[in-house]
Amino acid sequence: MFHAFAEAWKGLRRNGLSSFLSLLTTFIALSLVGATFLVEANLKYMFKTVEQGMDVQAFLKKGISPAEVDGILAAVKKIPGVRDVTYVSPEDGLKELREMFQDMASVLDGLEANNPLPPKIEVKTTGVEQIVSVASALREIAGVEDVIYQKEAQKKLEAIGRVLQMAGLAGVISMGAVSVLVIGNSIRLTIFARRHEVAIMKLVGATDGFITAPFFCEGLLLGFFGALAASGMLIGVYYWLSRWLAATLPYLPVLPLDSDLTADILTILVITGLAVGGFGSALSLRKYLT
Amino acid sequence: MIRLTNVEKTYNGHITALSGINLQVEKGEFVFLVGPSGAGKSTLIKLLYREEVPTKGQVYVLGEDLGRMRRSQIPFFRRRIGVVFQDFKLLEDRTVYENVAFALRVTNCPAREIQKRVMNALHIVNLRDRRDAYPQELSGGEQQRVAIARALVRKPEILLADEPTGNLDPSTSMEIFQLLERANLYGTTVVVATHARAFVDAMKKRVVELREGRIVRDVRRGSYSE
Repeated sequence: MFHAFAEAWKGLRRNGLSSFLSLLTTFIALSLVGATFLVEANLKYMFKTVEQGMDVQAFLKKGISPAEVDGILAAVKKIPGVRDVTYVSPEDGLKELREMFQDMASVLDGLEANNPLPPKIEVKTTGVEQIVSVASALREIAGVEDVIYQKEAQKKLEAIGRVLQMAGLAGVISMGAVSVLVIGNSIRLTIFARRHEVAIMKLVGATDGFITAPFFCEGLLLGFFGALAASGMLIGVYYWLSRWLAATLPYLPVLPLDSDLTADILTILVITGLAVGGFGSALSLRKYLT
Repeated sequence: MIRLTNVEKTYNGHITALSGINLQVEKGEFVFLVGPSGAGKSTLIKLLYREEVPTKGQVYVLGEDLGRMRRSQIPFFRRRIGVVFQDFKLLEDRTVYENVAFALRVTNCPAREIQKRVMNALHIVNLRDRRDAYPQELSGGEQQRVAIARALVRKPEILLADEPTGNLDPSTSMEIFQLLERANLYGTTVVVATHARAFVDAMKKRVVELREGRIVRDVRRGSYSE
């Protein structure tokens, strides 16, 4: 294995210019993969920020006792997907209404004595996809009369989420395919440049594995170095861009560049780089072997 | 050791390179393949190291039916034979030593063993002093001696040579034929395709003559032509 990497390294240096060009193309393709990932991650982050504002309301039966309310709150907290729950008493509800209809406060006069509002709880979920299951779980709890949530908004958000995911996936796959082709082509050129050497190797009884291992490793190295360069560039650009955005558009939620995000970028690009390099060279080698 | 029965080789379905070839070579023999250019000498050599497969008939070398040999077995078969060419086929970016060692490196031979055997092979072809030179720095005769050292370093059972002196002057050719004969004395079976009339006549070995893809003469202690 060491021999194969040493040979691969020699091979890369021997064809300096062509190696540099494939490295450059791999770098560009992987940068696009990484950029797609960052855009996708940020859209998801914004999406999450928006959907965290959405909640489910459950109306409780009238005249419920404080003890019963406590029981219901405890039960609600146990439902998977629930992030937060608050109790709104009929009196609080009325206050909310008064705030909303300040100009027509007189209409609400007299309601204090005979408050028609039911007590209710407001439940925040961890994500938009949890709303339906949380709502149906709420309906099962004794003392809950009715459950309402914004079905339409929730459905739309879910649909947008799906489209974003597909678009991101399509972007990553197409960029990955481009890298595979680029690396594959580069390896094919290397094999072609060294066809006499390969013929001689075969002649003296080198196995296919022995002959192809250095070329395969060359693909891995190209993918690896391309990934490192692309990660470095993306992290740098993202650092400046996120600072600039925070300064100019403070209300825009931007995923912060923390160690988690840095690790994610590195992991994703290095794994993609190695996979793409390995796959690309394997593809060319298969062609050459048959 | 080598046995061809009713071998026919056609290219692209209609260009006949060899037909009706029946040939047997025993262990330890030295055989010259002679005949005009295009007679099929090179094709016959290629069949023997499984570069080509026969269109019809069987080729047995070292007990293997080459027409049926699996792709994955070819390298292991080739390690048992040595091949020498007119154009030497050396790796230009490696030294003399590395070129010879390469034949052992592909076989997972231990490093200590490699050095011993390479130096021994270079000694036989009298190139120990040039072991750090690159092929371009050597004369044609020296390059061919490197190729022979590479072929002999694995102690092959069969040594094949296709026009080994085609690019060399007579006195250099002499050295090459002496080396082939020496390998034969150590027990290696040698098959040489050649145009070098003077050497064929002088060495008095078995001569197989090809013409238009057929064997027209096969004589012990023969000469280049009748």
